[in-house]
Amino acid sequence: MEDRGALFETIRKCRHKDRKSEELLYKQFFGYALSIALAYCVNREDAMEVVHDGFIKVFSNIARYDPSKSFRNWFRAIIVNTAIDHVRRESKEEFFKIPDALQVPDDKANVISDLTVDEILKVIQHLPMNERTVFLLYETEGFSHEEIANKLNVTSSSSRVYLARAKKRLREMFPIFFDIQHG
Amino acid sequence: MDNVEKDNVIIQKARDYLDNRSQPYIEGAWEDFVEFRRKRKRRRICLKYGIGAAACLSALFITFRAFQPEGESFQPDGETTIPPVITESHISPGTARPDIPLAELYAPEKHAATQRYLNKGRDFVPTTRGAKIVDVADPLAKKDNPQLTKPIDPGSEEELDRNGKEEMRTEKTERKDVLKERDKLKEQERENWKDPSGRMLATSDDKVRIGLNISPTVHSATSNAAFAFSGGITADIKLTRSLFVTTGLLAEHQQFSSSRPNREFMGIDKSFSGDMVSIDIPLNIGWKFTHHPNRNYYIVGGVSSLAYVSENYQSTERWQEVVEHVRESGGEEFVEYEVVTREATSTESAAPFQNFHPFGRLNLMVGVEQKINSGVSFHVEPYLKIPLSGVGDEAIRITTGGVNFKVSF
Repeated sequence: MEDRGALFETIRKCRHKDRKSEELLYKQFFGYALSIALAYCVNREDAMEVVHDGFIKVFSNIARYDPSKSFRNWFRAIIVNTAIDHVRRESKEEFFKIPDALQVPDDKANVISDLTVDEILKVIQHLPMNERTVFLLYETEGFSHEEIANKLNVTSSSSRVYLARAKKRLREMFPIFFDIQHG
Repeated sequence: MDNVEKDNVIIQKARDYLDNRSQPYIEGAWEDFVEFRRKRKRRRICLKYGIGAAACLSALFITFRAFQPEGESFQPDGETTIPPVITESHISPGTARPDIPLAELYAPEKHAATQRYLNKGRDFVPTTRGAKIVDVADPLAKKDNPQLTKPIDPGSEEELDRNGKEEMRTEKTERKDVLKERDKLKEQERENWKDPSGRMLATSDDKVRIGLNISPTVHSATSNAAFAFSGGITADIKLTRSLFVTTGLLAEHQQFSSSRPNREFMGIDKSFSGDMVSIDIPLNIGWKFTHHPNRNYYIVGGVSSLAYVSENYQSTERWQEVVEHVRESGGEEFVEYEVVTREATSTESAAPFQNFHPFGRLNLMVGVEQKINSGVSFHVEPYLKIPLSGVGDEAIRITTGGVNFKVSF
């Protein structure tokens, strides 16, 4: 509870544009923001840009944060929305880079549960941008297909197709990654 | 393990990653962020100042023109020079043309007669109050704190939360509640934004958007067309999801020229040209017929009111005259008849804001809006402005066409 109180105190000072509190908040949530951004972006540079853009929005809108709600969730929503903006900008180049279907040996089909959480990220990053974004928004953020369609400027049926393709591709890709990572 | 089970494992691991994983802090990230923020801020400030400077310059220009003393733009009345241009000569020795009285050809009131002749032959409304006839061809921009700069390792999240897993569970529950509440609100909002066919429409934009316009235009008074530019500031005010009203202030440079045969006796041709600057105050209503987040299409229609800041007209008329010369050679008198081409040019100007034409033009426009980023859009709008009445001091009906390029924010 004491740390929660310390967080609210930092947020309160951030509202008053206190530079040291901003720095404290930045360093406290930088890792969390970067891990979210890395899931949506192909490379670290793009992820850093998303993190910077996201923190600008956090600091300029921190007065709107409702202290009765979780700061972590509010913060996460901002980073995800910033990442979506980034995806939209990059989507024109990425939407057509769809890798060929992968052929997976049957004896490698049950290795998914053995992969670590960090390995999961690497596999997700290898999905085409549109499929990756739809997968993350639908399965981890809880958006509906209509909402995703609205955010990504695609139709809801396309969103469903992208999700189905993403899941299929992930099922195919995990055993290959397991081979690479675990010999 | 079947496909559904595999999917569930993957999804669970992805959720675990996003919920719990935290990357280590990168040294210098805060300093990079400060620099990044500073650059963004500077860019925003430059944009704001640029817009403000442009608006101030426009306002200054209008004010200057409005309060310019009348005497500076006016010159003494009614001088028309007629430089004779000889293009053809015909000599008929010993022949007199009985249909042209000699007295009229050499009469001292010849220039006065020519003036009457010119005024009679004009195809535009004569100059009224305040307008004067003037002379020809007048060119007119780390504090070191050990506590703060110390890297925060991935475990610091747990350190911050003394209640450990309990706190995380609380957060997850809160998050689920927030998501549920947000879903409810969004569902309600979605219902409001369904079109009659039940199709979802995109989320709303700003209530008022300011636009900076520049447009190459083509003006046409009769058969001839002239190229010019217009530009200014507009405001798009959203009425409903699809309807919006556009108004603003646009400075427009108008040029036109027309020429036609001179049908008077011995006339050649008449040409009339104008160079004007007007303030266009449009009042348009637009209908956006697509609602995509990035690109939208719309049509706009309405009327414009015009106030003229400067008006300069030039009229040129050419005709021929027969001039008689009498000479003596060898004691015999010869009468020579010479056809002389004459040209008269007159220039007129009107006082600033002397002419205001409410709803003087009909505006028709189609447009495409391309979002550049979350706050800025670029518009391309081909348009046609049709005159509803004669405008300017000479009541000219000018049709204007062009493509308007607009940045709105």
